[in-house]
Amino acid sequence: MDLDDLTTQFTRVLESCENAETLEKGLTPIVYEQLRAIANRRMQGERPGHTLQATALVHEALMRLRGDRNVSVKQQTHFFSAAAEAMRRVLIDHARRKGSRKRAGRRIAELPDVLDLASDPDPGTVLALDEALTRLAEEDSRAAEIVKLRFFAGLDVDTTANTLGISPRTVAREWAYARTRLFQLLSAEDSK
Amino acid sequence: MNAPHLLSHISLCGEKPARKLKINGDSKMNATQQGVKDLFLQALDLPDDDRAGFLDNACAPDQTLRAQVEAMLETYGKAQKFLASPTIKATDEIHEARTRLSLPPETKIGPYEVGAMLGEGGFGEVYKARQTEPVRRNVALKVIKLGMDTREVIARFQAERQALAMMDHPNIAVVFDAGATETGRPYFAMELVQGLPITKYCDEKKMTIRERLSLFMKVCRAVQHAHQKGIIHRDLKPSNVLVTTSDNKPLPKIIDFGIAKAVEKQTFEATRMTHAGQFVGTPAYMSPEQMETARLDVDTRSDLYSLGVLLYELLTGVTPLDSDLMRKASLSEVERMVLEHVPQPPSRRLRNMSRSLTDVAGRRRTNGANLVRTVEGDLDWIIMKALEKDRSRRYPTANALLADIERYLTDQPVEAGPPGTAYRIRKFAKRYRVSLALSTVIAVVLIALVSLSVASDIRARRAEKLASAEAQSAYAELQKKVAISYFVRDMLSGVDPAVAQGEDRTLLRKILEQATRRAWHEFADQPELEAPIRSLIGATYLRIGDYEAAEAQFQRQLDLARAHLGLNHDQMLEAMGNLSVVYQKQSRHGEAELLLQSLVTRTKFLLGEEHDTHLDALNTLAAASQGLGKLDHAAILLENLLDIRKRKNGPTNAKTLMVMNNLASVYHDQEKLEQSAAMFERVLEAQERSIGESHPRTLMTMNNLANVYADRKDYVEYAERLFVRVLQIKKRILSEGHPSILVSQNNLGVLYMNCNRFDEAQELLSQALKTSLKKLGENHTSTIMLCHNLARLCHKQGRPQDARPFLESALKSARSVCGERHRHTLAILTEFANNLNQRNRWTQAEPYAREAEEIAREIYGKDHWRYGLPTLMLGVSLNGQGRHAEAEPLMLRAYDLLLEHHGSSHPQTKKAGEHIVTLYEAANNQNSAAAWRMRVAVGD
Repeated sequence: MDLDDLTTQFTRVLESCENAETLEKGLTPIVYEQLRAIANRRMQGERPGHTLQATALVHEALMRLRGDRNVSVKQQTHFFSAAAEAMRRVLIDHARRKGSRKRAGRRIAELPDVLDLASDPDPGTVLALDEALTRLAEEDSRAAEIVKLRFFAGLDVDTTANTLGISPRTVAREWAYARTRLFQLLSAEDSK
Repeated sequence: MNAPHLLSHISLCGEKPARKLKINGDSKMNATQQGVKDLFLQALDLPDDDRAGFLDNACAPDQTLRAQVEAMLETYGKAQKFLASPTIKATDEIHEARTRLSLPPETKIGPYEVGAMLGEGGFGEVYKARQTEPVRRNVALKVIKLGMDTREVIARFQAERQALAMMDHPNIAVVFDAGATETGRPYFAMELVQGLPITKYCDEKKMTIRERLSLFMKVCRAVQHAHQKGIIHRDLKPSNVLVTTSDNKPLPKIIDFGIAKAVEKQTFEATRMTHAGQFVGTPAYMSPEQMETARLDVDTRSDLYSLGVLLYELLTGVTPLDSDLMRKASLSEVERMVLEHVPQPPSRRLRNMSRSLTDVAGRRRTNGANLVRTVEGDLDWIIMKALEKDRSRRYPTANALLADIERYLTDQPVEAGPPGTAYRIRKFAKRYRVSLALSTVIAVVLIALVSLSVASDIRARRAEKLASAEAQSAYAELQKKVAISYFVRDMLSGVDPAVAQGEDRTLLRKILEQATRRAWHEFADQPELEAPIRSLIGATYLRIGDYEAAEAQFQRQLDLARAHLGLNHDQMLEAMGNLSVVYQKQSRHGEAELLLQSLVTRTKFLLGEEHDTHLDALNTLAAASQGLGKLDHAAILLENLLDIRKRKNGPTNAKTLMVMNNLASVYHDQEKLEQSAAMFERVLEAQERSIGESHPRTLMTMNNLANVYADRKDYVEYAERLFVRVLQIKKRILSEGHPSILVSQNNLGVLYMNCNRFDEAQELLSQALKTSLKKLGENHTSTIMLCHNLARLCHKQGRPQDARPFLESALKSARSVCGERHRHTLAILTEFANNLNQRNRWTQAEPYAREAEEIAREIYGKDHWRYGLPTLMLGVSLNGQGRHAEAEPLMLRAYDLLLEHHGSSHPQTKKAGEHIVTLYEAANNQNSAAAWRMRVAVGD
């Protein structure tokens, strides 16, 4: 069965990769498929405008992929990193397929107070956000990593802290900074 | 993580080239930006007002830096909600997938000219098309969605083609051809049927039940034909059974035979699929085995299930499993529904429709009552047999189903009948979703016990020499057996057997003991089987109030899970939850708290913040915190939990009500009486409506509400009425000595005591204490509570010498059960000091009073009125020893606190005033004594 296949692959990757980087690289496409599968399933027959919580998606994906196997806390942290990346790709792919005319480098016209990807009709926002995130990553990789986990994977502060092996307080502080900095980066071009 | 970034970096702000490279993590950050970040974060920690001053100091020489930090702080203010809501909306994506598929009109595919779109479904879309060669005819062209390996699909279709070609039936649409479009999408060309889905057709023509049945029989015949040729449809549903009118008669045509198989195999075999996990079929019509085994093991009986669904819908207008619900449900929920949820028989479903029943019946040219009567019985059984989860219990062939419908139409007894006993026991086992081995064991246990009790009955009859009657009563015995096994099943599996109103528990206990013993033997090497059955047995013990036995079962479950299944296994989480509930019930709050803190962390991490298991754990944690006197913490936990529950489960859901109940109880402890009463009243109202007055949860609410009333002076009468009502109900449904009855008796007793109805109080409390000691022992909160209140009663009646044994026993137990620093312990110490003071044993009283004062200071603080009484007791004891100067400030402080809380005319306040008079008299301060005497007398 499809989901079993993914679970098997998931298990195999978890067990075969020692190195964190290859592990996450290997996990990302699997998680990506799983997320899309869940999203598609959940969305079937939903009214337009219905939204999914990233948190719920990511946790359901973990539950499904894990099956009844035991997954160590460490393996879970890899999963969450992979999930954040996968979720980012889902959104980017989505925005691109929507045929956004906003090319890379173009700023979005107006930055909303609340950037909620679900209600934002402009797919350019996603691309712009991703771009700003790339920029932040070059400036401050940890802050960017926190944004990925908090925003794309919808992890809470504690889980983010566990995943990155830093204290919740640090996460909260870095998150405050990262959000503000991203907001600046996103709105900067307008004023120019 | 090393994520490939999809977008190239483009410089946004013309930043100065980095002057210095500063390392932050592994990335290079502009020194200025790093400085800005540091100052920003430091400033963020300060209150708003202090930030300017801080920045003045921190960036004195560098105005640019300061401006940047300020800009950042300003942005922060604006960006509060930014990125706060990580959600995605996939709907667009799905819509978009559809639009991408639609073909422009007049496209040519192979020999077909594509015309109008007829419809779309899970596979793709259907177009009307015109074939030009070799023959000219209209066809239906089904173009399959992207994302499948076209060659594979076509190859599979070709493989079945031979079989498909053998099908020749007027009610089956012919599939002519399969191929690929230019863009590589597979398509099928088939006989064009321009009819309505069967359900719609029947409704539009207002066909009666009999007419519907005879139309349905035609469908059965067609399916039988296909099955005989070895073709399974796999996706039978109304939109695949189209009906046209021909010669004034309805003509059904089943379309898509052979297509599901060609397409679906693909979906499940593909490893890199675009639409992973999307069901090819429609869940509402899918058989359990289709859901479960992903169609690797699907046979003709799967189509029979779908026929059952179809018939259900034809008769009732709805699918057996709520299709709305299924659409909203997650994949796992849908799976669970199809695999486990046994739908209501059609007649019951109709009956439950209330309003819409008239419409449904109208479309069948009858009225509601008649429709229900027609469907009830035979048709119920026929449909339920077709819908059996276990396919071996379904009709073996479409012909068999057909034959039973014919029997019904000709008033012969149908083959499907009411389910028998053996079948029900199997079902009972199945409800636990356990393996066959385990179900057998349960069945064996049940049967063994049931026969045991029946056998002893028979022996008794033999003794009475009623041998012939024995034979005669064989049937009656059987009936009894069945009845008992149902009872056992309900006891074990029912949601709240605590309600088992008036049922005898001896049999249940026997079964549990038996089951426990068997569990040891049967599951020696199967922890994954043993753990859940331990949980089941434990839960049942818990519900009948046997906490020790329950604990043993749950502990075993925990040990098994820990040793064999892993720390994150569901069984582990469940066992922790179970154990914490038992601890909680036994007032072992500290142990419960430790376990729950660990459980809460795990469930949050493993299952997510809104998962039921997590929320339940939080609820129990709040109860533990409350038990430990951490009231503010408990209130915060519960208030948050209530928000989540209301949002997730709705305002009158049982879980939501439970949280409200707990929160109201915390408010009560916090002395927010009005808030507390209002919340309890709301809960009670909802519960009386939904679960009735004798449900344990309703009783709990009543009891709690009465307690709040009792604390509000003007509501005492209501309190009494409510307490009495609760006690009566509990006595009716619970066994003697149940802690819950004791609590009620205690509460009523205290109420009597506070109204100076001492005799009634005395009788009720002593009786309850006797039972509590017998059934629960010394170290139980019920016993402690009763002892304490009996001691208070002795004091109230002016016979302190009698209170001593109660106090000693209560204090000893409270120290070990509640802990040294618990409010119960405090209350008893205070009472103890009071007792000794009353008997002029000042020196003896001092250590008790001192300990009480310390605990009160620790848990309430010096300004809390509850600090008043212990302080007063200490003062009285010191004064009695002649240490007036030490006693004076303590007593004055106590008086102020009590006055502030109770008012001047409250007995406690007056008592404190009298003690102060005594103090000044003893100290020979006549003026003050006179003044205080006056003050006490006028009540100010």
